[in-house]
Amino acid sequence: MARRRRNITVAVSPLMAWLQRFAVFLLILVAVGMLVWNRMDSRFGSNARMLVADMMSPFLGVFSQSSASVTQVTERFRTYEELASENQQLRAEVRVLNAKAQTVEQLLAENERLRRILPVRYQTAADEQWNWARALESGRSVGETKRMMAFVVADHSRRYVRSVLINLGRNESVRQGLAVVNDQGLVGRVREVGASSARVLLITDPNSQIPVIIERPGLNAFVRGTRGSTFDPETRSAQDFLRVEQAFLLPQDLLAIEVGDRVITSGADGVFPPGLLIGYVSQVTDAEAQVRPSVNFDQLSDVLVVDYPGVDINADLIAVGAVGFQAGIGED
Amino acid sequence: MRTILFLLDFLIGGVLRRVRTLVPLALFVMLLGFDASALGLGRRLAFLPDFAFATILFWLIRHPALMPVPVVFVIGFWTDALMGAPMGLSIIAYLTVFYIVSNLRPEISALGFMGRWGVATLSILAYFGCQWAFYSAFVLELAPPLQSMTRAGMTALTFPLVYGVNHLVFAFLWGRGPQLEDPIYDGA
Repeated sequence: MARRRRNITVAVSPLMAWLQRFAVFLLILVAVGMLVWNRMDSRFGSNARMLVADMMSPFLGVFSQSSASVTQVTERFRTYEELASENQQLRAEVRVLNAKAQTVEQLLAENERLRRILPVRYQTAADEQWNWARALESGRSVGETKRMMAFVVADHSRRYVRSVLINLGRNESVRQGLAVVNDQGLVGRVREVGASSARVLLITDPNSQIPVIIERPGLNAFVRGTRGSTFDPETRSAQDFLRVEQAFLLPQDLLAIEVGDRVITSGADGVFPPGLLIGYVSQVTDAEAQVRPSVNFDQLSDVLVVDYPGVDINADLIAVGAVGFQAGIGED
Repeated sequence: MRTILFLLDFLIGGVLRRVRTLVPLALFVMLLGFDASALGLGRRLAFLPDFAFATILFWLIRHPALMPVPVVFVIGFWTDALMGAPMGLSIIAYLTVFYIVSNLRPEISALGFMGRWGVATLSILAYFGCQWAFYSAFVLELAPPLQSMTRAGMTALTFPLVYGVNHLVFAFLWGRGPQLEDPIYDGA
């Protein structure tokens, strides 16, 4: 028996020595294999990612909440000049908004009157957006839509993959494909779901592609995140931008787009509700149009997960496939 | 009485001796959590050093017996999983650093602090360079390198701080004074 064991040891020893010697190279090969697999199938590792996220979520929450508290405290120590200047700016904005609100009221009344004399009832994206805005303000539901308040516990918006982790998961009925918004507009959509956390792919990620309407010219288009940041002369800092996909536009369409045009979701993919604000056109050249997101991703803390009745993950996949979406990390 | 003390030492002492070997990993998990959490830094995040990686680098340089290759693999895996990065990206970067440090081990033992800082800087550049290169290959286009370069620079600059803190942790756990050379692990 002992002799047999010794023989096995003698036979296995060189193999073990070889394995120990080349362990680093073997493991690097395994890691490269994982990367290639991830490239081919973006769902690879999804379960592991969300398991780790679930385990770390309470811990991350502590850091994030503490950081939010520190930010609140430092906000209180702002100088008088800063507050006076901000106050002046806000007063000016209120005056402009009041004037706009009056115009909107007039236009709504006129719209309602014109609709009454039209033979067909229809609902435009603007109506839908109006309903949404009122629902977000008042906390009511729109139709069967369910909204869940979430807190951002991990922020990877400045890393290779632009995503954030929120503190809601499968236990709270969050599922893949749901839209995530805040008071400024569309933030992204749920990409991976764990038991108590979910990863949200931001609209600024290059793998995020959204069907939109550029409101003023009434153009249907797609916008996509970009990998780098561009210098924004307005804020005098590097900003993330979305790019209007040219593949679906005619050259004359690009000419119709102007700086300042509002960009909203069209809802054509059945993933996002129509009428959600994405941003404003910030630059138009002969070659491309850029959109500045309305959401400030640098200060993302509270968000709403929106369970829109129209959400259909298969529709999402079909939409993605139809536009030849390149296989990548953010793909669902 | 002696039997009870022996049993206590066998049971609790043995456990504690094993538990302290997990302290580097616990430090890493905590620092990675800090790095990943929503600190509201926005663009300033590029200036936040990668303390989690710097901690692992310290233990690789000073006490490699606590960082065998399977543990380094798991650390890379955990990083990728938490950061939502493509699986394998950080694993490759960590294993590359492991390979560099392992091969420079005889030289590192003879080096003073400044020399070790130099090795650490080389390893930091390799880590961020690997991540950038493999990510670029993954997405089939060149990823913007500026943020990686900034983080690498900040991590290299703050490495002495991480080195000092971890050295004190080691001295506390293994019951030694904070001395520069460690006869147990140096040359391992």
